Amino acid sequence: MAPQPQHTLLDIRNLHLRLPSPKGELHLLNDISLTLERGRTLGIVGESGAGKSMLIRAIMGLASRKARISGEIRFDGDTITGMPEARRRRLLGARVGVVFQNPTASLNAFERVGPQVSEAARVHRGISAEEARELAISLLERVGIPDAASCHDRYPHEFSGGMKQRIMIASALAIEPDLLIADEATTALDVTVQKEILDLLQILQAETGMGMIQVTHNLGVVAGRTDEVAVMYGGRLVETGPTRAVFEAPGHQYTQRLIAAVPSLQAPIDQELVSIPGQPPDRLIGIRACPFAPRCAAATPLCSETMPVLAPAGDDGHKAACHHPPRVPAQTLEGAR
Amino acid sequence: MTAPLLHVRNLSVTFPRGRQSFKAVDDVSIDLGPTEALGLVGESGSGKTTIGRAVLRLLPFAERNVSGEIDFHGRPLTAAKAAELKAFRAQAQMVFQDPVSSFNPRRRIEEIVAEGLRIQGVGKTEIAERVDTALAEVGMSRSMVEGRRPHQFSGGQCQRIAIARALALRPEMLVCDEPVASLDVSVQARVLNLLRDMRRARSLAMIFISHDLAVVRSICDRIAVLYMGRIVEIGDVRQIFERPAHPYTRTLLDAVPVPDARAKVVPSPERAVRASRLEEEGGCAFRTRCPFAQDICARVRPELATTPLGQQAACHFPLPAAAVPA
Repeated sequence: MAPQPQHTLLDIRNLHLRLPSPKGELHLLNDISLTLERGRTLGIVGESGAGKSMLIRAIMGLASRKARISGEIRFDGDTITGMPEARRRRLLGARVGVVFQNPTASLNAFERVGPQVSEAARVHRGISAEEARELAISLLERVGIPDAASCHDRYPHEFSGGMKQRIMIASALAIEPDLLIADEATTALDVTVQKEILDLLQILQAETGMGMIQVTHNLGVVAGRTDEVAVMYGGRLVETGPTRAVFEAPGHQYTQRLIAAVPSLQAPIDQELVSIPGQPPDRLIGIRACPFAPRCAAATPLCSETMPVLAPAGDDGHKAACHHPPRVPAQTLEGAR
Repeated sequence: MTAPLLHVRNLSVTFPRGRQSFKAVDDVSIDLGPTEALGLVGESGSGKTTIGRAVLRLLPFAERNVSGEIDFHGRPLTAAKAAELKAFRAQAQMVFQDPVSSFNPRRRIEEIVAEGLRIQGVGKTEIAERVDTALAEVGMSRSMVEGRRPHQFSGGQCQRIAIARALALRPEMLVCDEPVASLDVSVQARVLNLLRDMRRARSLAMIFISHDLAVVRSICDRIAVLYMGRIVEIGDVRQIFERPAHPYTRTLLDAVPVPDARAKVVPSPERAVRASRLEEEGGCAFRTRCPFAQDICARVRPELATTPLGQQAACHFPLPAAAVPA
């Protein structure tokens, strides 16, 4: 593909987020730099506690008020870090849609689904009640809810988990967002429903040209569905680059393990599964060495002494922060704990 | 096959839904050998959890809504009285999806692991021994857990504690209901490897419930695929993965997210149309989603029959081996 002039939608530079706690200041996000072009999809991947959701909260201005944030986040050219809260909310609320993991918790159980779908458009666009109803019905149709007109007046409990997640997507689309963030949006769903929802998001993105961020713990969900991927560990970005390059030749031991940990349909049936021993760091205070070193099979004394920095690991901006980048493809990893 | 440990014949479970009723499990028959692991796979609402609970007699109002036979060691479980049932509880244990909510948050871990043993009337010294052994088997130790409570452990650790709690009773059968569905992928593998090792070391019989075929693949000897309360395919793990006969099994296999970025996924705009569960309809329940459905599928309900590939499938048009890419 010939390089096209691109338009940066989201530009995060040297983002740090620290949160005071009784045990000391927690370094929840450390020096995160990422960009997302309009019309592209970025996967943010990592285990629980890696900082994925905290990063999304920092972008959306939803982090705790006690959090100390430094660095810069620009959305479509506007610097949103340090922007007065009301202005930031107006800007992002009108242009960014978010779909969270648990649709049952995100939907108001006592309100009919139609008004919930059109809510953001009523708040940010000031449309009339009639327009809102029409909009909600057309959005419900668009996300594949059968008989959308009658569903408009039904309550959330009348829908299955997959249907509720479709309703959440419809409400995120109400503002015709420039950016859609799916935060573990399919994690709680059956694999068949997960596939349908991922397909739907991909189709909607192609139709609208919006940018999209997929946050997940499962690399299988971003493979083949994202343009770029960012792998987080211990509040840091440990690898980032074009999705295909990262999967074919991971530049970080952690990424390679995460890829190998996805249960395969190809591996010999009686082969032991690849797991990652130990626990992710939980204290996140003053880590000065590679945060993955205590769990890494390839770690040497260097890893527990010096913090590896993000350095080129391939073409097209593929970078990784690993002292001992893997040399073998992930597929050939032997089962190990 | 040697005499089965668990023998289930024509199991049906019905739940009332207002004036109508809802058949969660519809005429299911399975046998489980003494050291066999059987996977029950299907989507939400397929009846897999209800079967798991029925064979452990954990369903509310069990007598009223359950029909069919469930024999354990050749004795009818449905007729078991309190004392018999208590003995059965030591022989058959369960591991739930969400370990944290299956624990009492105010109990200490060592009490949680010992609870079943206390109920069974095991002596104090023996409880201590068996708790230590069970913790060691799941890669933990008393010093790691002593005095601590569930919230101080991660999801993966809690699931290992839940497995230790079940193993402490030295059961013959373990029912695992989505034991890794709420865990990170990186932690899933550890729990799956542990269950697989336990199975072998303890010669355990196991029923493993999951919506994800990839998860049961490394653990089970046989797989039963369920759709809307009925078994649509059952066979050896290799048959199911290498030559699935039922189009629904194929659908489940295609939905597994694989970590392969060589080709872009081509999204399909189709949304599966799931048939209503309340209206009793004839024909094959999967026909509304099936690419191969013909007129007969709406009229005649297919029964389980042995396919040329060796497994059993309930399908008028089972997939030929050639249709499945190797």
